[in-house]
Amino acid sequence: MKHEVWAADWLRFRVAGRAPQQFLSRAAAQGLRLRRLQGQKDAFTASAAGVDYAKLRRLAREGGWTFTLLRRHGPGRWLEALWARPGIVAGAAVFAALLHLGGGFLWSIDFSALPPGLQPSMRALLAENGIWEGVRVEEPLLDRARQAALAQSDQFGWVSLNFTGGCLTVEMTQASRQTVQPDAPEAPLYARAGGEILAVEPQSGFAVVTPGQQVAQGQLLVDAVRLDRDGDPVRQGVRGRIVARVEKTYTALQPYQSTVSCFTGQSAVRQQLFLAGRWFPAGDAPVLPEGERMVEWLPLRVGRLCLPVCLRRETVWTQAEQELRYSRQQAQALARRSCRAQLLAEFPGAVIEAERCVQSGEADGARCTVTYRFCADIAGTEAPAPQT
Amino acid sequence: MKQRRPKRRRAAPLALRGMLAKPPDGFYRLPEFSLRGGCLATDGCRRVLDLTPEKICLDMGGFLVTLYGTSLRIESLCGKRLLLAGRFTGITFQEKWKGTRHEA
Repeated sequence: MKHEVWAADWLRFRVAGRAPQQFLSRAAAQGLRLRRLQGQKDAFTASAAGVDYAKLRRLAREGGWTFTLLRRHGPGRWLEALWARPGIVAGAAVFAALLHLGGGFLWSIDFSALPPGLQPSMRALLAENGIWEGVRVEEPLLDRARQAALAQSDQFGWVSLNFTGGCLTVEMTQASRQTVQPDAPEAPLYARAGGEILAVEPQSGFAVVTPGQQVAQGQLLVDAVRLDRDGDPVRQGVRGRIVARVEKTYTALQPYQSTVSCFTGQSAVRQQLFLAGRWFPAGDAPVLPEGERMVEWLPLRVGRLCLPVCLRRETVWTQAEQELRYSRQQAQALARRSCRAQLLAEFPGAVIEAERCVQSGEADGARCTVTYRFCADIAGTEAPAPQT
Repeated sequence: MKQRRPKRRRAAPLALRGMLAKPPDGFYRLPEFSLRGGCLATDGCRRVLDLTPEKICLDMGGFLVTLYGTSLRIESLCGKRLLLAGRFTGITFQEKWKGTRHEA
């Protein structure tokens, strides 16, 4: 079946009747373009564009000539079929428009270039700056998020946010630490505890002790001043480690009862759906109580197809003050752990060689006295209190 | 003192004089044809008076131009522009009002 696509056709027609040359004159006067005219007896055949078909027929009817359509050359079977189904063309146009419009929205965030441990923190950072699936991404928004990420210099050394075709690719390098030591102060180092010197490792200053020497608490270890041959003082900043074997005793008391904040095991969840720039409640929307709060951003997908929709799930784990009662063994273990915490707080990095524990039970709690023998850096800048 | 001989004014070449001269009467109303790629083209056709494979008669304003030949056809007709094709054997010009006939 030939479709009515006259506008894109070429026609071959025949005009017959009395004095058909007048038809040519009238057609030429109206600006109609005729081609390949061949004269016959009281007739002629010609070709014309399909857009002039209606005018040619009207002209022939008005002049009393017989107009006969001999042949048509259409745009082709495929184009005619396409013309007969305008929905295909309209669908393609709508698809292209939606593709162009949807390209400005964020469909997915690619965290694959990040270590798994840093992905939640980067997700939280992007969410703080208003970037999640479904938002319309613009360059100022990306700049703000990039600056915020770079401000967290303890985690990210360099951050790149590339938004292309609806996908935000996050790339980063981890921060490399480079310690810059300040100038060594011109203050001598004293022993924070008495013991046997094992190693003298001063980076600067004048050491006054040697390995194997016994020192007392408050004794001078590294001095900042030395007299030269002429008796003039030579000053130098002091920095370094003096490792010694020390024996020291710590005591801790752990009550049998204590009040602490514990999780009740109950939680409240509120979900919100971000769609087309607005938030919609998904399911119930309870009033969240106070407690430990955790926010998750869950992108929605259909199979492997990402959607510009994001689900925000906020979970609050409730806590309550509870009175805990420890048994005797638990209290003693906690007291012993408290003693070790005191040691490590005073001498960070101490290597414990031996420990002797004396535990005693009291009415209100368990008391633990632990004597540690350990190796640690005992150098400190605190001068001993002057003796009165 | 030697007298300088007066310069003779050279006569303008005949061709140049012909180009500068006033064209004959009715020059611009003459029909104009040009041969383009085997087709005869004109911009002044007012009407097609006769159209057969052996004869095409055109109204060119002040002249009636008749072309004779075989397999004559009009390749294109749009307004006053006309493109003729075929094998031409003769052409006649006839002044419309005086009836004078010229053959070529």
